[in-house]
Amino acid sequence: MKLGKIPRVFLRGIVTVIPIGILILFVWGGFDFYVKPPTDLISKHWKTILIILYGIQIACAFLLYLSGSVGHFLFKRGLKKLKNEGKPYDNLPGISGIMKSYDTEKSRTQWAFIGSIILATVSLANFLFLINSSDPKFLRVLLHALAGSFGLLISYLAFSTPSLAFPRFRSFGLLDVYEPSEQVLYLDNILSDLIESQNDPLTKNYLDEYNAFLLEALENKDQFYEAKEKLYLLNVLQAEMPATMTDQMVEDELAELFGPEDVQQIINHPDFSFKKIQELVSKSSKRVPQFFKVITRLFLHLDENLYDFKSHALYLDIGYPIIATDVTPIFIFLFNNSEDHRTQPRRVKITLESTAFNPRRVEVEIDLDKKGDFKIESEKLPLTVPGDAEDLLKILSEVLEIGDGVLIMLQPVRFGVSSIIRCTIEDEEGYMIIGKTLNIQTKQNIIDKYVSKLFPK
Amino acid sequence: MIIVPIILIGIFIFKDFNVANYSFQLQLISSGLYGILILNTVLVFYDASISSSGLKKVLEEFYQRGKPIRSIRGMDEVLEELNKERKDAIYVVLLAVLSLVFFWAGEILSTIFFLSIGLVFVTMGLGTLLNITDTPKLQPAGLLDYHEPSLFPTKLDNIMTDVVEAFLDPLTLLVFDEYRGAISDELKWTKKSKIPRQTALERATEKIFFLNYLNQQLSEIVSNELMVFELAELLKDPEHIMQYPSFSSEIIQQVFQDMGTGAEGLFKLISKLIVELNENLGRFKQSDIYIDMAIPDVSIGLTKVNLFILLVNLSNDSNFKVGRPIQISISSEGFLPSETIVDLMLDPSEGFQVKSDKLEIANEGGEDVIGCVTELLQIGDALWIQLEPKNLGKKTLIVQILDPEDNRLLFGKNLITDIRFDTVGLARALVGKASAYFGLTFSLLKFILGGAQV
Repeated sequence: MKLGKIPRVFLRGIVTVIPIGILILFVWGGFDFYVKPPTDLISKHWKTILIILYGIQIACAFLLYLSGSVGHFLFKRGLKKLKNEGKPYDNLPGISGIMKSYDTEKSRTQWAFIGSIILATVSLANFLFLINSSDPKFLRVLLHALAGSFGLLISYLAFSTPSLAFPRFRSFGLLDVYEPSEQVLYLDNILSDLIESQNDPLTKNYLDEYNAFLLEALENKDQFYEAKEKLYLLNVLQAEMPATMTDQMVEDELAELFGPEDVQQIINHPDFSFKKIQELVSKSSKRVPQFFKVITRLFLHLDENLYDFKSHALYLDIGYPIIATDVTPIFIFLFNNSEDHRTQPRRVKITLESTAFNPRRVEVEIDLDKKGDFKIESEKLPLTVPGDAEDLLKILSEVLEIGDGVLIMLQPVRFGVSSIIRCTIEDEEGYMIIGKTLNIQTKQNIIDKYVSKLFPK
Repeated sequence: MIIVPIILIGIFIFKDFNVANYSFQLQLISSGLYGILILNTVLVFYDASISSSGLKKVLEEFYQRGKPIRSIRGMDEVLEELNKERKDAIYVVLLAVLSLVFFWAGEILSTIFFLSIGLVFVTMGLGTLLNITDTPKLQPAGLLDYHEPSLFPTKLDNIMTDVVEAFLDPLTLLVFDEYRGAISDELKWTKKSKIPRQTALERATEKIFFLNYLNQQLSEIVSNELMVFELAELLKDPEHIMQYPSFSSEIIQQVFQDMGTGAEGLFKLISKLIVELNENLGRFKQSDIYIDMAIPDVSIGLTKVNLFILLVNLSNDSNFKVGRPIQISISSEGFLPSETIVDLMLDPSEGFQVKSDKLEIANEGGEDVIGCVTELLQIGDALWIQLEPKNLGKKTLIVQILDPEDNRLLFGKNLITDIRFDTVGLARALVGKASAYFGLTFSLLKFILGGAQV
C-alpha cells in the first residue's frame, strides 16, 4: 500500500466502524439504550462518549469527502487543460472508466458525509428531546432503528469506497486508477504486447517516443523486438526474484544489447524507468496472474527441463486459474520448435470448448512465427554468461519473441461445478497435434451477485 | 475430535442439560476430556503449521537459488491447501480452548455453560470437515496427498508416461526431466540402432512404467528380478534406474496408487491388451488396427467421467508410412459436451510385427508380452476425454472410429456408465456442517435469549 493512501484508509476504517459500534450498543440495550444503558461504565459517561463518537464520525467523513472531491477536481481540470492544448484525451479508451471511478469516490464519500450528519442528528435529537418525556416508546424505537439503518448504509459506503490516488498527468500517472476494460487477444511479442497493453491510456502515448529512444540506443537495430522482450523479461524476473536478478546482472545484460553509456539512461529513463515498469509488472500480475505464471514456468522449464523442451516440435503451456468466480483469463502460449517450419510460419487452429463458460466454443487460427535460425546447443543453460554465448536469459528472450500467445477471457455461467475446458491445437489439415483438458471449479461470488446489485457503482 | 465431543455432549444430556447436576468428580472428568480435545487439536495444528512453513521455506530457498518453483503447475494449490488446513486447525484449537473456558465459567453463569456445549458441537463439526492427511514430505512424491491435478493431456503419444506425468505432484514433476536424463545416459542405444535415440528413450520410459505397474499388480509373476532382466534389454544398468533416489520404483508405484480411479480406464485397456496378446494372438495379428476403449462402469457424483480410447496402427501399408488418418466421433447426450469429433493422425507402425504364434508374459531373449505391450504403448496413441455428466442415472456413449477418406466405420462401441449419487461425500459434509451450524445456532440463541435476562 502506498504511504499516501494510509490516512484515507484509516479515515475509511473509522467511518466504517463507529456506526457499527453504536448499532451494537443499541442492540445490546434492547433498543432502549438511552433509557437503560447496558452497563454502569457506559451509563456514567455515555452521553459524552456518544457525542464524541458522532463528532469524530462527522469530521472523518468530511475529510474523506474532501479528498474524494480533490481527486475528482484535479482529474477534470487536467483533462480540460489538455483539451485546451488541442489534446482531446477525454475521448481515449479507458479515460471514461477512470472518470467514473473518481465520480464514484466523490459521490460515495459525499453520501457518507451527509449520512453521518443525519445519523448524528437523528440519534442526538432522540436523546436530547425524547428522553424521559411522555412520547410513546415506539417513536423512540423507530428513531433508533432509523439511525441504525443509516449507520449501516454509511459503513457500507465508507467500506466500499475506493481510495484512489490523486491523478498525475504524466507517464504512469494514472496507473493506480486505471482498470483495463479490454485485453489483447493475440500476442506476437509476448511480454511487450501484454505489458504495454496494461498501461494506462496516458502512458500509451509516450510509447512511440520510448521506442525511438530504445532503437537509437540499440547497437544492432535488427534486434529491436528481441531487445524489448529482454528488457521486459529482466523487469519481470527482477520483480519476481530480486535476490537472484541483481542490479549488476541487469546492467550487464543490458550492456550486451545497448551501448554501455546508454544502460543507466534506460534504467532511469524519465518516462519508463525500471522502477515504473516493475510497478506496472506488479499491477499486471494481479490482473492476469496466469500469464506471468506461464512466463516463470517457461524460465524454470528451460532451466530444469531443457531436454524435454528441445525434444518437442511444439511447446504448449496454458495458464488458467483453478477456481473461477468472474471473467476468467485463459492464456495459451505456443512456441514453434519444428525443424519443418524454420523458414515458413506454422498455421495452427486453437479450439477452446467449455462446459460452464461463455462462449462455449472459441476457435482462433493463427500463424506461429517461423523458427528461423533459433537453436539451443547447450545441454544446460547458465542464467547469464558475458558476451554472445548461450544463456538462459538470451534463449528465453528469443523464445518469447518467436513464440505466440492467445489470451481468451471466458465468463462462467454455471456455478458450483467442476467444469471442463478442452483445449486442442490442430494443424493445417485439421489433425490434432496436442490436446489438454483443464478442470476449473466455478464458484458464485455472493457479494458480487447480491450486494453489488443493491448498491450499484 | 469426534469421540471426545460425543462423550461430552452425552454427559450433558445425561445430566438433564443442567450444570448444577455435575458432581465434583464429573467436573474433573469433563475437564480432562476437554483437555484431551485441546491436546488433540493442538497436535493437528502443530502438524499443519510445520508442513506449511516447511514448504514455504523450501520455496524460499529455491527462489534464492534463482528457481521460481512456485510457478510449477499445482504448487500454488498445494500451498493453499496446506495454508487452509493450518487456518482451519487454528479455529478448531481456539474453539476447543474457548469451550473449556466457558465450561469453567459455566459454574458461575449457566448461559455461558450452554455456549461451551455449543462450541463443542462446532469443534466436532469443523474437526469432521478438516482434511487430515499424512504429513507432507518435502521430497519427490511427498506432496501427492495434497496435489489435485487439474490439467490432463487429451492426446497421449507415450501412453503411460503422459498419464503418469499428469498425476505427478509439483516436486516430483521438477525431478522428472532429471530422471529422463538419467535413463537417456543408461540407454544401450548406438548410432547403428534402427530407431532414433528419442524413440529409444520414450520406449525405455514406457517400459519402466509398465513393468512397475505389472510389479504392483502381478507381483508374483513380475518380480524385481524379472524387472531388472527385462530392463537390461534396453538399459546398461537397470538397477541404478530402479533405485534412482528421486524417482525409484517405490515412488513410481506410490504415484500409481495415488492415481486411484482417475486412470482406471487406462489400466483396464492395458490389462485387456495383455490378455489379447496372451490369449487371442491370432486375431490380433490379423487386424491392421487395434482399437479399444474404456469408461468406468459406475461413477460416483456429478464429477467428470474419464473415457480412454486406445488406438494402434498395425498396418505396414506404404500409404500409412507417415501416419494413418482416422476420425473419432463421440456422441454423449447425457454429458457436456454432448458431441466430440477428433481428427487424428496415428503414428506409423514402425515395422512392428509379432512373429511367434504364442507369447509368454516374459521370455528370456525372445518375444514376450511385456516387450510387445511396451512397444505398442509407444507406437500407439490414445485419447483421454473427460465428460461432465448432466445428471444422475445410466448414460450411453456412442463412439465411432471412422476412416476420414470415405467416412467408413472402422470400429464402433456403445459404452454404458451409471452415474450414482455420492452418499458418503454428502454424509460427511452434512454431519460436519450440520454439527457446526447446530452448535453455532444453539449457542447464539441461548446467549441472546438468555443474555437479556442477565
